[in-house]
Amino acid sequence: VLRPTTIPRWLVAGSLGLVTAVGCEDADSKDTGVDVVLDSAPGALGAASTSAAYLSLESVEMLPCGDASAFRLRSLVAIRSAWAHDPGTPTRIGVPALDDLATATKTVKLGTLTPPESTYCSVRLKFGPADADAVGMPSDRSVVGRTLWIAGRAGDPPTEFKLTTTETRTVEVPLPRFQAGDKGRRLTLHLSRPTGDALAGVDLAPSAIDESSRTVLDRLVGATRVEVR
Amino acid sequence: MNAAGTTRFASTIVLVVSLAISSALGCSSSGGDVGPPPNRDHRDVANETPVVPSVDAGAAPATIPYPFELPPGFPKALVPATNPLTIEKAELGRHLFYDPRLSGNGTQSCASCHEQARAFTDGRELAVGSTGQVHPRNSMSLANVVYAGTLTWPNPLVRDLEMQAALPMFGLDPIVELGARGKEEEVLARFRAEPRYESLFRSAFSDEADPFTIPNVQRALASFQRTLISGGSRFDRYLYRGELDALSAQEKRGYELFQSEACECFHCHSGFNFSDAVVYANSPADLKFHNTGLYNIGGTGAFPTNNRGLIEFTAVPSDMGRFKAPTLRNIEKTAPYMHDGSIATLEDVIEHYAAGGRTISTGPNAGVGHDSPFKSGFVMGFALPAEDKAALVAFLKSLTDDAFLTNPKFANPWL
Repeated sequence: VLRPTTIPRWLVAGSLGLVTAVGCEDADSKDTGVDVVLDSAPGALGAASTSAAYLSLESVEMLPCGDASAFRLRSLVAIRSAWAHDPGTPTRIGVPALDDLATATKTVKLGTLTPPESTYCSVRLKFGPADADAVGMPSDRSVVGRTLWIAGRAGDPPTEFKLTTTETRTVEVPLPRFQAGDKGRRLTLHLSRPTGDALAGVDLAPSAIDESSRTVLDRLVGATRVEVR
Repeated sequence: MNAAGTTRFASTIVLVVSLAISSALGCSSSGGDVGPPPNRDHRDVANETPVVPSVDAGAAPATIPYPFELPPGFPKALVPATNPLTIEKAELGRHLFYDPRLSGNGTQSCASCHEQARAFTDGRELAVGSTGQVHPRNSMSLANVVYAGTLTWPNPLVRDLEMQAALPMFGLDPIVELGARGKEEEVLARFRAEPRYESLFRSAFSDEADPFTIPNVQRALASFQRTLISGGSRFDRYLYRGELDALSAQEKRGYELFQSEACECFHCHSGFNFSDAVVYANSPADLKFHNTGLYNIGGTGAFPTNNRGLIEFTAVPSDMGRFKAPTLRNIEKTAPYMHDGSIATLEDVIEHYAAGGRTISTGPNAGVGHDSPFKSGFVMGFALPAEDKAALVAFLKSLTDDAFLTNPKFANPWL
């Protein structure tokens, strides 16, 4: 019962890739797959000058309408201690990816889901520490093990600040009911974070790094938007 | 219920009854005082003022809540509501922890097996009790033990430090450790005769007419151990304070490997305490134990008969060889390694995991651990060049917290 899920990353990725490939072929013919893309855009942090800003997304999962209430119940206690990412399934992409909040506008495709035919009402997003091989890991590997990593300068005169945390968050983002699966059409889930001011009023002093990082993480996670197109 | 289920049920009953008896024995020495508090009803203590036992006006001064200052990245710790953490109790506990008068024959203290300079381990393969008996297991580090979901290597039932304190004091199985069973009044008499303890006990338990009781000894020991927080390593500066220069390039490479799916280390040694056997405010309630392929005697998956892990408590065959993943903090100082101290160096530990289990060619424990049917799926083995293995070791050594190892607040007060 206690034995952990032991699917190696390469197997997950390979299986996902295989499913995606098969799904794509199938989806292309039936046009029913659900692409998941992450739209990253700088400026979400407001006026601060940031040299690096990343938020680690562990998994994305589509939830059928019937499961939403059950999930809400589970979500009350679903704070995990392990850093292991989730295995991929037809409704879940479990490969961690980094949302680059600082450098440039870009869209990264996280994968393609092949959900069973159903009506879907929400998307569950898990944020947690990045594995070493998370999608979008910067070359200096500075985000390994972190859920949030922001470095930059702020204030007058500008002084360096850093925010970092390894805490995890799980949110369920409600969506207008939509059909997916065999009777659906090809869809795309767009994950984005509108420009805001996540650092507003946050104490950026080194002594406040823990609390401030937690605050900014909550703000960024709470600002996540999901759109079905 | 089938035979296996019956056995399991019976084992559980025996365990629960045994623990109850053990607790009762510990209590009986104290004139009917309450036993160790249950694991339920814990409270988180960070950013919150602990409840202090009420005292009558004009009585001894009230106790002072312990200023629990947690390092960045550490979650709120839990403390039983029935044993609020106070400065006075922690200080009494520190004195008791280092006092050999706690043992039946006056030769050993808790610190005999838990030395501060070794992150509260003892440097031995196997611990040795006050009467010379050798324990089947290696002394565990007490760093951040306030977060331990279970205490001891294989036991899923001992979850309170108050309860745990009774095991070395009064336990006879697997060995006599402190050997105080049947000598409770003698031990308490020693404490009453020590002038320092008069004020320490009365300050810690100011609302009690006679604070010299075994349960209070347990509470004080638990309180001191809860203060043993280690979160000041160079790695902590790197990860939790954002000081990217706090680790060398080699140590960063080691951390990257540690966090990779290739090596799988981080699945069991996860989170702020590098252990998945932790509890804290709002943490999951699940307990995890792992078989790392250390033994596979005769190809059956068996472990040595005196040290079989979780199966000894559950009677579930697949629990053979499953032990708690210990914290890796200060791991450089806690050699030798594994539950039985059977691996001498960190380099050898890396080789063990790289091989996906240990092969023992001859002798009574011969077997290929890699092929154990009960081994964790995370122990798959990996191929790394020598420099990467060295990087893993370098990273592990970056977890050493020198301030913790030398902090006078945790040191022997009798010196």
